[in-house]
Amino acid sequence: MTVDAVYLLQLTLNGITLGLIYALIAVGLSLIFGVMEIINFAHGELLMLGAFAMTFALPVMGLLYWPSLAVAILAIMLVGLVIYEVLLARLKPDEFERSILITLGLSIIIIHVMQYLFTATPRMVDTQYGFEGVSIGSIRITWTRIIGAVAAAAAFGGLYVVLRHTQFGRAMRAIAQNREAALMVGIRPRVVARNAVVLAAGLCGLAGAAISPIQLVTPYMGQFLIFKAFALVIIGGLGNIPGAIVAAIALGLIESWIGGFYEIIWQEAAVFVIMIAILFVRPDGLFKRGGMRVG
Amino acid sequence: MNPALELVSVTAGYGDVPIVREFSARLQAGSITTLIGGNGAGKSTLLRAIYGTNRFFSGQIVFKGETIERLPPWERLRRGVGFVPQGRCNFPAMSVAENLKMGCYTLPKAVHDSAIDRVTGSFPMLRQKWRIDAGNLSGGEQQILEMAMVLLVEPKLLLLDEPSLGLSPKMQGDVFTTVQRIAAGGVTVLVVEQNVRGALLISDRALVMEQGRLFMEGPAEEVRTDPRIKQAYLGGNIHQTAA
Repeated sequence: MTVDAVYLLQLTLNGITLGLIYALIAVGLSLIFGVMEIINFAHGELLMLGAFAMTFALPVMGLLYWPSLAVAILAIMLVGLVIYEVLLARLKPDEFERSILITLGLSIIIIHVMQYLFTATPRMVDTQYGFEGVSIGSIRITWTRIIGAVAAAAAFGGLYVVLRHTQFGRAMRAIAQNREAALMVGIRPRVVARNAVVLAAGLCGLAGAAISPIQLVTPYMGQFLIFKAFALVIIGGLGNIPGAIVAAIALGLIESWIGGFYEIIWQEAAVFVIMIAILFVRPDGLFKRGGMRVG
Repeated sequence: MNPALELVSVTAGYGDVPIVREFSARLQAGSITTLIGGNGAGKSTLLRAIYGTNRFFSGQIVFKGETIERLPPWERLRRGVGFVPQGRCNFPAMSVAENLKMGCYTLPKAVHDSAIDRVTGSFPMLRQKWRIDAGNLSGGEQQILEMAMVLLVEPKLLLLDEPSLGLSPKMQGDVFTTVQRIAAGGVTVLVVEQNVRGALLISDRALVMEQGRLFMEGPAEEVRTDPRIKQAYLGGNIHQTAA
């Protein structure tokens, strides 16, 4: 098989966009885990809801991309707030098993309610950019992919500033590092947990909205995502946000390359084979826990 | 003179298990009180009950004339109760600067810098280690950092759980001197210490706890020379329970 350099570059760029979107999911998952010590198994469904929010917002907004994106993000933050206040706020700190059942159950309920309301028929999303894009030589990338990648990268920049330089974000890292010390300085764990869930939901909303013009939107689109995101969080070094981002981009690239060179059917299976192999070789992940640690 | 802190028949513990039982005591403002007791006597449990991080069953905690036993920890901190828990109670992957910033969590933003200046003035070591992660400081430096994090909010009552644990004798002395200096500034201190002799030497009063109950109280000097205390905590041999 000869590898066409242009084709490879195209796949690589697509992989980076996909990876950045995975990273949004993984980082949110990591954030919630750090602050609440639970895995939110309904996290992929927040992405799906974000994609649906985008499909509904776009026609209302006259197909304008940015206002629709903002609406989708805000809508999913609101969903996150409701999920926190109604379900997660009732969890006590040592109820990990209950948290699995609650969030897993929630994920299944959301999927089926969405299917009941909007059917399982895949939806295509049209934006003001349509399928326009930029061409460099024989490479073509659609604007929606470029914007998705840029918006994700900008979100990480914003997240870095918030976690590093605001008391709001620092409190999240603080709780993750030492719960008792957080109480010592007067942090209110439930307020910070709520903030973390809403922030993570916003990242999911962004990811879903950004992915909707790139992939088909269905109630099932988030289903396997949680397992990938969970694996990324562990491979990235539990709670290590830059680690999760690097792992996520690597995953996006691997998926894109495998999907591009082999039958698409291998894509999902190969990704999990690689992730299981890494976890056998490096049980604590590829990167140390450090720097921007929230776990 | 009104007591800074009054404990009235406090019963507290974890889950369904009371550890501290019907414990009553009064602390005078600006005094240092040492809480003495064997392992599992309930010393840490009592400090946690005063700060509100464990389960409170019954009784009253009166601080500056107000009952605080039903308030969450952050509300007690706002009212002037500071608690430095036992052992490495900081944010290990944050720098000293960030840890101090977190210590300002309940303060308005406008006073953060002046509070940090004031505290680092008392502990210049913190400025020297400004960019170092708390987890990489020595045990003594971490202890100083933790006290500084709580002192940022200028508490009127400071609860210290084993501040000298794991420190070199020299560092232990430094910590005791620091505690004396804090109390001299008008802060009421209640300290649990494994170095009973050292703690009694800087204390005004002592409370002795046995199996969750108050066993004895009095001026530190008196308790220090009490034969039962000498026997049990000051290098005596087998601990004779008298409760």
